[in-house]
Amino acid sequence: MNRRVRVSTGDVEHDVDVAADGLVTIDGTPYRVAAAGAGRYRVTAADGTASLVAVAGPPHALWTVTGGQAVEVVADGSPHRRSAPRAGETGMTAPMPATVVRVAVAVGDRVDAGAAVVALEAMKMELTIRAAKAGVVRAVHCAVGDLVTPGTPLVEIDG
Amino acid sequence: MGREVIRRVLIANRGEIAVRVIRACRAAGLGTVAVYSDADADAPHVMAADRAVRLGPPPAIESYLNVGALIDAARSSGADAVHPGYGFLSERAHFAQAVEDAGLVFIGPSADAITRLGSKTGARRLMEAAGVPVVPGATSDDQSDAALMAAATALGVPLLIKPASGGGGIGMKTVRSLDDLATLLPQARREAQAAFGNPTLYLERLVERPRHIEVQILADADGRTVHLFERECSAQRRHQKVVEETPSPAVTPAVRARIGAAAVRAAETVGYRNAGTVEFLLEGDGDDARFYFLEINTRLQVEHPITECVVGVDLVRAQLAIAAGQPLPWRQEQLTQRGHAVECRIYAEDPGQDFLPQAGPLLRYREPSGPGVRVDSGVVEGGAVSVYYDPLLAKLITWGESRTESLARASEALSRFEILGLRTNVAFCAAILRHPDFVAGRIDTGFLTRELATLTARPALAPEVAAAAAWHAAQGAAGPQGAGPAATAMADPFDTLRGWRS
Repeated sequence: MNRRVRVSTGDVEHDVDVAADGLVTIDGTPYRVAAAGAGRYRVTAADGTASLVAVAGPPHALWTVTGGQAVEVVADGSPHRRSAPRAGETGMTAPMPATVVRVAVAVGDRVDAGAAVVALEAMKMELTIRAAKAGVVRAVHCAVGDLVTPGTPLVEIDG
Repeated sequence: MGREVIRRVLIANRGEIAVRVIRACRAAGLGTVAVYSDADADAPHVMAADRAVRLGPPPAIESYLNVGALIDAARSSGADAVHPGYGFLSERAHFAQAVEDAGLVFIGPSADAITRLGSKTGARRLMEAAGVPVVPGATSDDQSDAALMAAATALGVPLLIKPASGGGGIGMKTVRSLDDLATLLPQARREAQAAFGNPTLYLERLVERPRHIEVQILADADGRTVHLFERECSAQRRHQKVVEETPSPAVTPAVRARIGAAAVRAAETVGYRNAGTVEFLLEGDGDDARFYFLEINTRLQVEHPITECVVGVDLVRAQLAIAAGQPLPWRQEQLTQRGHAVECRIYAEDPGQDFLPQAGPLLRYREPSGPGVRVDSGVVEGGAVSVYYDPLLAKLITWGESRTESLARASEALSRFEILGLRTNVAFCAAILRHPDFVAGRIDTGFLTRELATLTARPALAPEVAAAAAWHAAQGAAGPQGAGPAATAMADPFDTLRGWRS
């Protein structure tokens, strides 16, 4: 029984054919995969070169590591599509657990792209959150002293 | 000074350093008391100790920085000595004093020495007077913007703004144009206040392209002081060290003798006792290189193991002996360096996102081991990294007869470090170790920042990884419970055999 699994890092996608006997084919190139114990797989290329890959986590948020290089992948072998990429990487949300130490804008303010809107402090360091785009501040969701967690919306701007 | 009896040591810290100190205490036949916040109830340092006492809720201010709770814990557990580790209260004179006032032995320098060295300005004046070279700088009792701007103008740019009672590079600002002072001074003041409870600032000429060289010292209760040679800590980012090594490829035997003697003089000037580190900036090359005193860190350093590897001394054991009033067992000329050691600090941080600290579960955590490989860590697989504390997970320390050998061992060991569930800087450390400038020993404190793009380049998804991921997912999806962690765990038949494998 062959299965097709889409493996994606966000930047790169591979459609991978998986056969029941551990023969895995990527873009026509075969690899042999065997369980190597304790969460590791031994992956052997056609020329006999083998690498150990450790894998953990559920398929929609898999962690892999080989040679000290960890890579997060989504392995999708089911009909449903994976959810949208994580929000907040470029938007004005808190990127880490932090305390709000300054709010530089108010509703109605006009801001330029890149303007400092909020300052956060975590691990004794200040981090400036900047406007992702130029526009008018529609909402401010935080105040000085607030504890915020990753993904907490801080400021919304109408472009 | 008489002998103190130490039978049971409370370790006022967490993470890898608490584990490391507990092990040294046990090796010395001493009882151990761990302390923990609610976030750390099952942490490795708690498991490592003979007994453990809860301090309070997760925030450090209510737990590991809570002097009253720590003293109570020492009393209730029958500890007679306190080891502060690094960070937290390790360099707070009021903590050392509180420990002594409670009739306990503080394993570290006196509260008075901590006070005198804790102020950068005070330490600088003391060292200048003792003839230890210092970087040109300025401080002022008048901390107004105007006074500081006048001092900055006199010094000239580039210069550094530092919190007077700071450490670890926190709150430091580089000034390249005097026009930036108006913004940087208030920001530096705010950070100094937030981090150290003291807004006083200090200005210093910025030595361009310096190396950060520090010297380990030990001094016993009778004032006998030795140095244990230098550590090269120039691979730092925002003043946080990432990779350290000893001996420094830049320090010649002549400079080593001079800088070692200066470190001993610095320690003796303040009547220092126990372990400490004298930090210097090194400017220039060869036998003519100049060094300037930066500060004395009045505690065990994160990077102390590389000195232990090369000199063959257990520094924590030495700290315990000194605190118990025992004399140093060696004279300076009996201490020698053999081979080379390097440390990589493994942090839960994302090099691809400006090194943001990461929190989350450790789905997998496997350390490398082997000849010349040492890992000091404070986490275990199945545990979690919380948002409350420093994101240092572990330190990988390797030793070799030569620098080439210890660096090769470090690279090989990094390639076997398996940490899954949160992002780490393992690949970043590996990239540093193979960078031609690092390999050549040609680095300064700006190296990491200059080479950041090269060092943080994301690798392509290797087809072998995609193959393993696809196979893993397909196994999980084919299982009776569908895709998911429970099903994927079944993919590996060896897992079920784990019980009887030795």
